[in-house]
Amino acid sequence: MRALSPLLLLLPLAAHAENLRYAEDVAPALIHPLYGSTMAEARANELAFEGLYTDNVELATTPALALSTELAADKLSALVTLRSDVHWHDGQPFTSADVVFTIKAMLDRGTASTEGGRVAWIRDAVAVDEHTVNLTFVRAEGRPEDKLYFKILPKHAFGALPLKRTDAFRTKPIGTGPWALSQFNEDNSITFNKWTSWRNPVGVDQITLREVADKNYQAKLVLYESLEALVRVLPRDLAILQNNRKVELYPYQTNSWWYLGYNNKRPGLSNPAVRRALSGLVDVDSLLAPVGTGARISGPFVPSSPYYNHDVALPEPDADASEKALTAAGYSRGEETWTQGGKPVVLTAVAHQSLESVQEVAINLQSQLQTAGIRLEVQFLDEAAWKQRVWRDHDYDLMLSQWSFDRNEDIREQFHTNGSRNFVSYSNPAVDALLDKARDSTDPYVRKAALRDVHRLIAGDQPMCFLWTLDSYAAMAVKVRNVVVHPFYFFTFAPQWSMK
Amino acid sequence: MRLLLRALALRALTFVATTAGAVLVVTALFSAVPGDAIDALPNGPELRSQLEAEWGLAGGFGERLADALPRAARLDFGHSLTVSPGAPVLPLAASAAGRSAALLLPAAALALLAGFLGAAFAGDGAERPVGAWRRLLVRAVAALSAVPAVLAALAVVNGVNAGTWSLMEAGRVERPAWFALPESDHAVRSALAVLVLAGASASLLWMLRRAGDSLTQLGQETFVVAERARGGPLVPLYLRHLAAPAARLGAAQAPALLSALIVVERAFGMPGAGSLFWESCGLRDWPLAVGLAVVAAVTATSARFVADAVAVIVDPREREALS
Amino acid sequence: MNVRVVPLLLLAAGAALPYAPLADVNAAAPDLPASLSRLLGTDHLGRDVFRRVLAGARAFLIPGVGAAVIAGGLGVGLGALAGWFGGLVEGVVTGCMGALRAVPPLVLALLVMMATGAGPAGLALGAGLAALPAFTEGVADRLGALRRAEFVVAARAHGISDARILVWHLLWVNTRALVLREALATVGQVLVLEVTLSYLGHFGVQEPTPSWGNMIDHALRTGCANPLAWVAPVAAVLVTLSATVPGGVRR
Repeated sequence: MRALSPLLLLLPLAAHAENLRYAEDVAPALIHPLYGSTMAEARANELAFEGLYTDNVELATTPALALSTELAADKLSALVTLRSDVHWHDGQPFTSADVVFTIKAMLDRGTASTEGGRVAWIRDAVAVDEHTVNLTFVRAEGRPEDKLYFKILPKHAFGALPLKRTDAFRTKPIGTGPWALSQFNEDNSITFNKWTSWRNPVGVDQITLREVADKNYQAKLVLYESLEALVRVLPRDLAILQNNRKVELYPYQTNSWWYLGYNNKRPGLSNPAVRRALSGLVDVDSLLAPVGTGARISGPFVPSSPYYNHDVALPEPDADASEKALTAAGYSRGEETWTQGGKPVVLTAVAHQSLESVQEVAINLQSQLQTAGIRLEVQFLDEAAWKQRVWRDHDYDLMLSQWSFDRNEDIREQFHTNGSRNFVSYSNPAVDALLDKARDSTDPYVRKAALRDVHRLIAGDQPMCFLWTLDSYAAMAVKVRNVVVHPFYFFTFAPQWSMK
Repeated sequence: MRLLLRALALRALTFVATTAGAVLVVTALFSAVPGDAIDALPNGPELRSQLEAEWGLAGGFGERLADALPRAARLDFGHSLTVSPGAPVLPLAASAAGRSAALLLPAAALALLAGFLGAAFAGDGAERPVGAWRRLLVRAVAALSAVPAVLAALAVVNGVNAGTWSLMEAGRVERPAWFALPESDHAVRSALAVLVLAGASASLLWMLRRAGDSLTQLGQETFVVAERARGGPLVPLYLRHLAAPAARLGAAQAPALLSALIVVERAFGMPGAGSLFWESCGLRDWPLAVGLAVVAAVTATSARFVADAVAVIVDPREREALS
Repeated sequence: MNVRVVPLLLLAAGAALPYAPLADVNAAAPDLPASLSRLLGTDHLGRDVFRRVLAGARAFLIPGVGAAVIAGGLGVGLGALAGWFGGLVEGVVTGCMGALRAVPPLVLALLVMMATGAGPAGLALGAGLAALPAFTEGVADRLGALRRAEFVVAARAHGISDARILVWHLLWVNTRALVLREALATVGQVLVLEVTLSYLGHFGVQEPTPSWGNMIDHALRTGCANPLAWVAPVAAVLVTLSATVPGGVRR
């Protein structure tokens, strides 16, 4: 039966096969865990590939391709025991060689993987036997299984390292996941068929990804029963969908938060008092109101995060205090605008134009600051232009954007002085020390305490004005049952969905 | 023979200039816009030093052009960087162009036909003036087609979907096979897309005007006046002598149609060269954009060459003009 | 006066009225219906739709005129060269125009705006380059047809210089109507480009500067409950386009 399993994919599904159709703004160009660059690709990878560990419905780490992990006493290595009953979509058995190959491929600089950072904490991987892998770490790890989520690749499908994004695998992927790629269609849709040899029953026979570039249509297609799922419902469509008997809304909370970043290297903005004064001029609740519902934040975590410091109060707008602070910093309030050295204060902000509702937020912000006497000029940039201005050139005064984190919520790269994503050029030795402590500690309580302190210090320094995290909703046709939505990857719990 | 060779040589020169110019324009623009393909990747900064060399993005405009032109001459456009990573550009561009041609050609033909029939109905080139109401009717239809393709596409897709859904909810109709736009691959979707493309890109308006010019000009030709005076058949005469202007007008519709194509492909969910070109800009996929521009340049030049050839074959004055 | 110019003049008059986009923001009054104080109601950010429609005319009129000047200036020059000299010169000019045509006008305008920064200047330059082939080829075709006409032969026989024949008799007398028609169409095309670029991803005129394109995009995206927030700019677009894109009936 195992040898015949790949052939089953070639057989057309029974005429009554249930097809779950969902929409993405842009269809993935490839299905390859090492080269995905969009969330659409990440979600598609979730269908076809698995990691050693995954989340259960309580978002706790649970084994997937692994059975167990035995941490060494010094916490510098671990033995991972793998499942022996897993096969690839082409019928080949899953072994430790695949795990070792995947890790080495991701570590290889020549592979130029977009996911390389996920294994940077692993020094080496060695196959002990067919179903056991020994991992050695760069530094002590308290719970390595929390980081063993990266997807595993089949060694037999590739030649020598390094891998290339041009490899044929990108459009002919072979995974161990509950669905296998059937085909890329000419209309940019992608079809996945149920992998009948998966270790648990899969309730949905077929999943089809459709490219619907215009977000205005996506919710309507759910209403018209042309789609069964919508990953994220626009705030303006919530009212229509929630009143429809054939659609169910599922709320979920991502680890994403909006912020107004200050370029800490710019004159004036390098002074925390000036940054706090600017933040004091912003009525965040008014910015949020036209955008949707969500929760305001006072620091770099979402309120539901264990690292969020609830003792840090949400800042309220205080024009008087801001005025005093700006005056103390050498600014003068003219008739209409603030000036410095006789020149009116004009700040340039860049915003990521593909961020939903960013225009409304930016316009409101401009209006608020103008009332307060500060002229703000906003430029909306696409992804590549934004990255050049912000990531490479640091050529801006303010930036309006959003950070998204997965379950690990590792903010080190954003706020450490040497962080690779520290585009606001923030630097605080005390914060650096706490971030190092959180990274190096294997005790979750020590990590939690350190990051809560980081929250407190960063809230005081205001390298950014922390805005909010938005509520997210997925829409599913009622004929899809047993739905639990994973907040980051959407399809993690899809095997238990049912359409029968 | 000498004249023919000279004409062919001129056309060949035009072809080379057009193709090289297309490569130059796209390369220049991509060099000038902020950001590059590596910025389209989530961990671009870490990969930059490696990918810049691999993707040929290390040099400036001059180096890129010096690399791109000879490769374009060999029809080697490399691989797509970000839109369809690893896919060879030429097959990707060609297959997308083929899908777009399935929309463009019928739309162009429809606009051409509507333009000439509309102009004739309005009395252009006629011996006697026609009723004012006919001219008004044609002008009204033409004004309607001034709707930009984006608005027309949105109106058609939303209107057709909403209307059909209302009928389905009321039990008046069964769910049609093509429902709902844009997600279904069906002839109805294609037909609506062609209609929007033909009518709402200002192509119809422009066609009406230019067709009217051609009819008026032809109607004033001495041989037409003479044939009219003789009471001879005018239709074959018009068909023969309108072939060349019609072919030229068909070729000249391209810019308006190409812009509208991007919107129509996106609105109707029919991926083709237009939406691919658009994506290549957003993701800074320079090799793909160059490949698409060359395919478009070759297509446009070939169309114009065919139009000129038709003119030379049909009209002896064109042959004389070659001298 | 050509009746088609009347709507444009009215628009220009409206566009000249002062409007402060940021001062108009009123988050407390979103999606209000039409009333005496706000003739077309408000949009999702509480901004007066009527005033924004008037002010939005500026967003395409100024770049439209700019684009027409750029395309017309360059187009007439290049077209005159191609049409008058023919042969190799015509081949090269046609080739260059073919190269510009190979890039869809929408993409050309987008890339130019991305390179120069979104704004009236970028839109004018992008739209001007996109319209250049039409001007050039129109003028070249006209001059190519006329350069051997009897009146040109007669003018030469009378000793009139080639330069005067070209500039006065051919360009001014016989081609200016064509150029003006294309210029008017270019203004309309700028409007179409702006609306389309706004729909495709906020690439048109950027907020808070009002334009009909970003008004339509804003209303559709935010699901504004006041339908006039998108009906009014759509109507403005249609009226303007029917005035600027020449109708097909001529005698």
